[in-house]
Amino acid sequence: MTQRLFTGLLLLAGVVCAQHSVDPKNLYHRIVCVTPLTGSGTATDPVRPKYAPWPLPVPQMGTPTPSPAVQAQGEIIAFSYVLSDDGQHAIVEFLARNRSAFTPILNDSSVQTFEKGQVTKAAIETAIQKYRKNFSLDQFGTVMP
Amino acid sequence: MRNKIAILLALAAGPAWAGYQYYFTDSLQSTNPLAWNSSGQLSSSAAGLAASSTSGGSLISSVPIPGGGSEAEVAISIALKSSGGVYTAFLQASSGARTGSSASGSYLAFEMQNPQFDAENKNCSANFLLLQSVAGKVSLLSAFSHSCRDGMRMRMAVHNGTVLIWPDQANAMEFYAGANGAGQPGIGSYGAPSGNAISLVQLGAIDQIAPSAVNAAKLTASVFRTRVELVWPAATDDPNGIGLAGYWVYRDGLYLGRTSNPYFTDETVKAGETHSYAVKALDGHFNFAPPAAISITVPTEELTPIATTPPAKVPPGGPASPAASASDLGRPTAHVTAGTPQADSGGGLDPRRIGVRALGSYWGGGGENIDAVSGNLNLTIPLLNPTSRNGTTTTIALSYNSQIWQKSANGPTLLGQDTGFGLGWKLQAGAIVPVWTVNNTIDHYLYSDATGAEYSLSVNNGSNVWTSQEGVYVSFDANADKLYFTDGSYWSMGCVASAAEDDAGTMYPTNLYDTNGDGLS
Repeated sequence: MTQRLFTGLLLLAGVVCAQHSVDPKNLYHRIVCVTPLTGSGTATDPVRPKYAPWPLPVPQMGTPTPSPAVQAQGEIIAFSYVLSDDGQHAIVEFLARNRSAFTPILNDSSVQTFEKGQVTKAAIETAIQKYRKNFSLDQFGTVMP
Repeated sequence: MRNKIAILLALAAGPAWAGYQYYFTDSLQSTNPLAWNSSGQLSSSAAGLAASSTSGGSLISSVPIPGGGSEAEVAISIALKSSGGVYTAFLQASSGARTGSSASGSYLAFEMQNPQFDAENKNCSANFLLLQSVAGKVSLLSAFSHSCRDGMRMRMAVHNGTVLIWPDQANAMEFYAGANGAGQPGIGSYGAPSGNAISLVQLGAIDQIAPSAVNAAKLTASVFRTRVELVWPAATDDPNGIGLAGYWVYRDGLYLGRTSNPYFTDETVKAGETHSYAVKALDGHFNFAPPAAISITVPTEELTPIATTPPAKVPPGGPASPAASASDLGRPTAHVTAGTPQADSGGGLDPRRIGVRALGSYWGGGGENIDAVSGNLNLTIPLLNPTSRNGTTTTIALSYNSQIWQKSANGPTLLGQDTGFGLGWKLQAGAIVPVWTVNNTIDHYLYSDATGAEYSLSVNNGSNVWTSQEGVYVSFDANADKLYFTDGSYWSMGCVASAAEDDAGTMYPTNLYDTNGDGLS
């Protein structure tokens, strides 16, 4: 009973107000990377960045807080991308609740990665501008709902 | 006289309402062939447009977009009685455009796939996709999961090449993926179970008029050593506009953040820095007003700590009367004046005086206290103290603090929100908030304990583990989202408030472990 009450209070505590909030362009763990494109361009196999989840997993049925197992597993919860100037690469931002979801990407030496929060805006933009002129983080990224 | 009558008739004939008007609305109880180009297998009923087959179909509008061009807004309402189905809003679509197994044509598509209800049919979650098809090649531009519900509303607009989507929420998500440049709005569906339908579609032209600019003369900044608080009078959108969406704030020309309220706090300034801030109001179709700007310099002055009172001199003739002042008695006078509170040991000239500091407990000492300098009232009511076998305890407390108002030249501003517990109230075991710099890096993490006291975890050990110099020596491992306490126990911060919540991005514990690794979830 105590544990149930405790869990209930914890969940309740997750929706209380605070005066601090994080910009929706910085929510969750994020990495910006340059990946190859994959997919044949059909509806069942659309063009998308490598490591973009596809087919999309069946949504969790309204669970506001992922179970500990899901948290530990980690999964990419959102992504968006723009094409490089030559159309051969995706400049993509992946989002995850758990940083471990990025492990395969971070371990792929063929993918250039930048962890948001740890690499400066200027450094990311300078590196990405080799692939896409005028690239700006101000006009890039996923604004989470 | 005739002119007066004509004017009166014109006024009477005008709409009694103001605001954005969609140029076409259809409840889809039947398909109007003059308004829609239909393809595939669709059926209309009192519930709206349904498509149960796996290939489904689409309706692409044949009504010209007012003003020409292909930039427009499409909004759909969805009757969602059970799990399943795909529901699509199109823009810049060619006639006969489709998604799914019978995909064809060119389009931008904002699509909800596979909504899933829980066992009680209350909570719902779905995949949302932004798709683009050009010359028969389909690209998945973005995907994310989000909540859904019966009666939900999905909107998509394209303006100046920027794609805006609203997945049943007030704030837009923007994408700079590039638009197709031609085509019409439309809707589509496939695989929808019985009872699910698109119950309403509305097509609108793009609002081209920016909201009013923020009044630069009334943009005020309250500058403290570690924070700058900006407050301004609310801007307004034009009478027929889509509505004010909020404000974007820039520091030294760089995007700093966005807010839907007419105030913003930058918590990443350092003593002695000079910055210029600009605030732009924008409407729902991303028309930006000219900026209002203000420049500030962060103070460097070291405030004198509250003096320790030495033993009183006993004047000749006996002890001092109670009415004697400190200076009468030769004591140093405390440097406390109304409106200029003392610095706390965190080095911040911060009138909120939060947290337990070396100079005293201002907010968060437990129980009830009143800060005599700021006049703020704080009280904490511990509700639960779960204790593990080895004695590790955690407190979940209800706390209140009256520091929810800011007074500026524009008058008082309410900085707190009521989310169900009343203004100024919190209920928590603790929380972590990342504070981002304008350079897209983490400046520090803010740790709040159960009393609401806040501590800056500003020391990064180089491995993304952050700790504090403010009298609380917790460590936050930002790679693993774990908060470690000095006794070896730790919390897993597995719950993150979503963007739609007032505390967006705030992390709360979901698992609490003692030093033996035993935990509560």
